[in-house]
Amino acid sequence: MTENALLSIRGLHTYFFPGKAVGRAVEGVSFDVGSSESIGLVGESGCGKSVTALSILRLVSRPGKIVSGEIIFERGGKKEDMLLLSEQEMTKVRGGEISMIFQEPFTSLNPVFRVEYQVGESAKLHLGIKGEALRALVMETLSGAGIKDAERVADSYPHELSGGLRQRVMIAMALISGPKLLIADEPTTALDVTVQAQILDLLADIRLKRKLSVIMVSHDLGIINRICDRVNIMYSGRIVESSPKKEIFSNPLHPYTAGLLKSIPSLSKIEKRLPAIPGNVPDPFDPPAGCRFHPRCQKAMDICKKTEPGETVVDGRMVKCWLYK
Amino acid sequence: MELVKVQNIVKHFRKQKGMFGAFETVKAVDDVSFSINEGETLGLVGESGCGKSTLGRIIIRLLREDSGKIFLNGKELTALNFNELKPLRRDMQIIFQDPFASLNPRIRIGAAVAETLEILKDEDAVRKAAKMLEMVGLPSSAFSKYPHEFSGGQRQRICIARALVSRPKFILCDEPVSSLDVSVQAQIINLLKDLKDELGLTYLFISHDLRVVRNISDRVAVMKDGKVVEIADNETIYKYPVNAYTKELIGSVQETGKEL
Ligand SMILES: Nc1ncnc2c1ncn2[C@@H]1O[C@H](COP(=O)(O)OP(=O)(O)OP(=O)(O)O)[C@@H](O)[C@H]1O
Ligand code: SF4
Ligand SMILES: [Mg+2]
Repeated sequence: MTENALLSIRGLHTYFFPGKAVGRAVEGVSFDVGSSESIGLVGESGCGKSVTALSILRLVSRPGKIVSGEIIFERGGKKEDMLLLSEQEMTKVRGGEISMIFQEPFTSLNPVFRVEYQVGESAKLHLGIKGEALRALVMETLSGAGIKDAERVADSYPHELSGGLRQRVMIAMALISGPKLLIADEPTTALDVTVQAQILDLLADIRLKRKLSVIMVSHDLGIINRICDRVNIMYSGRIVESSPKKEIFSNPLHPYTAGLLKSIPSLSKIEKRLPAIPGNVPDPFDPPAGCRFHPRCQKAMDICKKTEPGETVVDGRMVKCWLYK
Repeated sequence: MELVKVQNIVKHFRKQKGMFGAFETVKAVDDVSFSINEGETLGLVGESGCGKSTLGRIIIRLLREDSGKIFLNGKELTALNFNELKPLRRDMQIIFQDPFASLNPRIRIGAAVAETLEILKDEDAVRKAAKMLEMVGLPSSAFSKYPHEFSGGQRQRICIARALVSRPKFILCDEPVSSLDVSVQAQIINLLKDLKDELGLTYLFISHDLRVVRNISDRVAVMKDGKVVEIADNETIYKYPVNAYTKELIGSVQETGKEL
């Protein structure tokens, strides 16, 4: 464990138990988030990104369950395992010390309350302020989220705002209590590209200003490139590579990372045939044995089919692949 | 040779603003003209609500225009009634974004693909459907299976087979890879390119993703607020965009290749 990590996840297992089957959505995930560090959690649908993010705040609902692991978070100078905290303590963490924003801002905003009330609620709860001081903080936070006419937006209902504005409101709501860690799950996926670019600029700016740690969940490596220092690549419930951004794009270690990068069409270079990864993303209820990527991997060896590779550390980077043993 | 010609197409919708707001007119398609040559892929890019899909649906006659004309192979489609259009349906097909919603869960794959031909009273429907499934890269066992037994990428292959089985000339691809994972998206883009070459198809390829459009298109049209604001060949529009909005779109793409 890194000494100065704000958050340290160790051996997290989160499973789903619908009926008899077991879905191993997250299986042995470990990673650190340093103070003021921005981490990307990338992978294709169903690989367990969201479940990992939700596990951190203990928001996984039935039939899902955190089966084992540690989630160590630094609170008031002390390191505490959040999986051992009481539910009452957890409500202080959620929205207070760790905030989360989701893909669809519309579903997380309550349609019948004005923006001012919703943004202020978390500050009331976690900071215990009210009245004029609260209103002033709401206006300041809305402006800080790049909202120019904060007064008008504060008086609006969610449906009166554009998608981009709603996402800015969500960001303000997440930040008003001054959390140390922000978890953003596909925060721009539902937005148009031009609006997406603006929101990413805002997040990049805010995280520097507030010295915020960020976990950015996305399927889009382009977005991760824009905002993260370090990238964790997930595949079938595991982190298969963890590398600083600089290195992962120029020299990916894991065959899956390499394949993923190549399959994204680029603006600057047109390839007649895109180098696609064959096959499909594995079903978490019926994953392949050995290395989960072996049926799609061009470099697969005999051992890959039988035994799962453990972690190998190469120049401060982590990879799970037999090629590096 | 010009296969599709779009001439001054206009389509307005009346929409209520908010829940209790006043009605306003939305100019979904606002005087759009262009043509697509045979064997060409025209990419149509723009953000949500800009009118891309409405325009696409008007072209393949799933929706009626307010005014303007559509020609296919020199024949004016906008002048034809439902019965007159019927034989021409064979020539125009559509591939949708959501391969989950566009397949009936209770119909076997083989039957779903053969259906178009059976409607057209083709006696060889079953054999042609099987052949088409093979062409899109599905195993022959797929023929008697149900949609739920397939992944998103495989379902999109099924939808492609269904669209191509009548050997159409023109395909409207409306966000065909938007709901797929990146690794699978690349497979489908490759497949669409191969089929185009093999079968001599012409595509109108609608997408909000400029990276995808740039990869597959010969020419690109940029749409905003119901208007085509710029149209040019792929290289030109990327290297020398003229319109301010085109420039903004290009600037908004988050690339992985270059260091930020
Ligand atoms: N409510 C649930 N019931 C059963 N299984 C679930 C449930 N929620 C998630 N899972 C399982 O957990 C796996 C991981 O899901 P998760 O939502 O974390 O994926 P993701 O990586 O966020 O994908 P996406 O990119 O689609 O958001 C899924 O494949 C699914 O099988
Ligand atoms: S362990 Fe084997 S199959 Fe898995 S990624 Fe490495 S080489 Fe490929
Ligand atoms: Mg998710």
